[in-house]
Amino acid sequence: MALLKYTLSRAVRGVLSIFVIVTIAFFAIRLVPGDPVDVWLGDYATPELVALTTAAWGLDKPLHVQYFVFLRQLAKGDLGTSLRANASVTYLIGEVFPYTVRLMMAGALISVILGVLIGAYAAVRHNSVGDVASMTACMVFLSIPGFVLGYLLIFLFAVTWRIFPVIGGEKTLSVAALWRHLTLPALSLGLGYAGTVARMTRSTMVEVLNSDYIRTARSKGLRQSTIVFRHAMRNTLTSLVSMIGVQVIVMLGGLVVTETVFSRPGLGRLYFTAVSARDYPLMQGSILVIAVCVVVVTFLVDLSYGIIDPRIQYT
Amino acid sequence: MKRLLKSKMAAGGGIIVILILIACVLAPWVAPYSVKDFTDDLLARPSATHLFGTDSFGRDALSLVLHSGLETLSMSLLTLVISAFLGIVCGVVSGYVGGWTDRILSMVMQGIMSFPSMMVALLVMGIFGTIGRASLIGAISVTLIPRFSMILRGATIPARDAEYVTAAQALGVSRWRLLWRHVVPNLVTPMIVVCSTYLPSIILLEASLSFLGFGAPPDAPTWGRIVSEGGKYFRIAPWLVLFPGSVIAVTVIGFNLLGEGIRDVVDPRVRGKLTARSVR
Repeated sequence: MALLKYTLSRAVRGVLSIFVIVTIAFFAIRLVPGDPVDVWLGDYATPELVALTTAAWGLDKPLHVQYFVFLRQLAKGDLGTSLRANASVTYLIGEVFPYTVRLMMAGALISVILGVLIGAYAAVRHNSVGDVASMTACMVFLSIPGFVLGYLLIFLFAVTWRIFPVIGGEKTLSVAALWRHLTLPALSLGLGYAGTVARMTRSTMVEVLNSDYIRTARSKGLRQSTIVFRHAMRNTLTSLVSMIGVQVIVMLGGLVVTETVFSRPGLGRLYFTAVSARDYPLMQGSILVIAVCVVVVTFLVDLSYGIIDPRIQYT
Repeated sequence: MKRLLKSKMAAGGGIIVILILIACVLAPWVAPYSVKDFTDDLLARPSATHLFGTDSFGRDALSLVLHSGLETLSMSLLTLVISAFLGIVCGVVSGYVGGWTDRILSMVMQGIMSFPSMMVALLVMGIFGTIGRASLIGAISVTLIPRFSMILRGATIPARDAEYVTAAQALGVSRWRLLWRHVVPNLVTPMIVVCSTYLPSIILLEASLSFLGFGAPPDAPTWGRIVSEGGKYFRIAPWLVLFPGSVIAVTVIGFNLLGEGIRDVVDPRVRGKLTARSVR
């Protein structure tokens, strides 16, 4: 019962924050007069054309009227029509969204698996050569800008050794196509964050490994792997999961660069094009989708606490 | 300071940072060529005469990187100073005044922080102009102010409620004097820690935005912009991306190491917990 109540209150809070973000974005976008009409018409702008286009896009109405029109459409699940592409925003986003989901999942998997393994290794071998070496590697990876890492991977694996194609998204969902088109972008997205995850895993793990109950487990003669993965990991999981949640949200920002470097279709690039062209409906649509992603991730992280650590009470 | 010099990490990072700073400041003298040296040697491979190769205009890429270094780093530092200042103001006001001011400020700050920094920065630049230093600095500041503000708010509240502050209040010390003399000094340590954490992130974010073509005007390129230009010729001249890219990476590594050293010395409890890259 407490769980249900907790879930519901979290869900309501999530929906509210989506609403707040979308509203702030709606007005922020319209804050500065230089509007999409100027960008679109460019040198062809004559007063008549500007007036005509402004009216056609509904931008001549007062701000609050535009806002209510937007909300009414939103309630119907309609995000409007892109000013540039002349297609519905839902269609444009739906088109690229699966690519982004696959990239995000692959990137998150890489960063979590690599990060946790390296971090646990470094914690167990605290202050050894292996520890210093792996932490140095992590420092290097988290300091390389995403686009440089992307280009480096392309240079090594696509240009020099020709293992993977240079650019593009996967056209079919076969294992081979996914492997060919997803590996490099996912690595470029995931490796940097793997460095962060590893460093955090290490620092929490070192603390836990020094605690009394681990000493007890050791004195019972348990194997090292059992101690690390059964006993120590359990107690680091709560902080790990909340950190991974944050990393996934940060990773959403990394999408823009990764998708650009690899010329992959995706939400990040769509958002970028929308912002560059001041395509209001497309901007609003992508912000909404990103906000939903952020809220869902936060929601899942919050829910997972109780599953990981039964001592936590839902309130 | 003594302990800072003893820490190997801080020393290593410090050396990297100082070397890069010296090279950038002295660019007009140490750079082998001027940025206006257009030669016929387009997209030349790295060689003894052109260590980083030449770009599509036949300019020496190393000289280009050195000459734009000061622009890149000073922009990042300026962003840090501006967002730190505004963040302190918001955080201290929020924590010290409390009540509705605090609630509304915190809500806005949390709203901004919940969104990926990159997307926030892009949106701000989309609104205020995609090209130009001011808009770039503003955009990155918007993503950072909440982070400074929340930490400063957290540090202000215990300082506000401390007994010596209550005592000072009872003695009739004015509110702003109280804030300045008794509350602010306690915030110096968290401030140093936060600044050293976020500088590398600022450099990374600035590089990413410039890489996307947002920010630095083409006549005053930053490192991100140089990589972005080089990206057009990546198939035939990969060094134009990889070399300047490595310079960015080495700089960020330097600042990260230095920051970590500073954090260990100033506040040993946070060792390894705060990592850069919370903004990227």
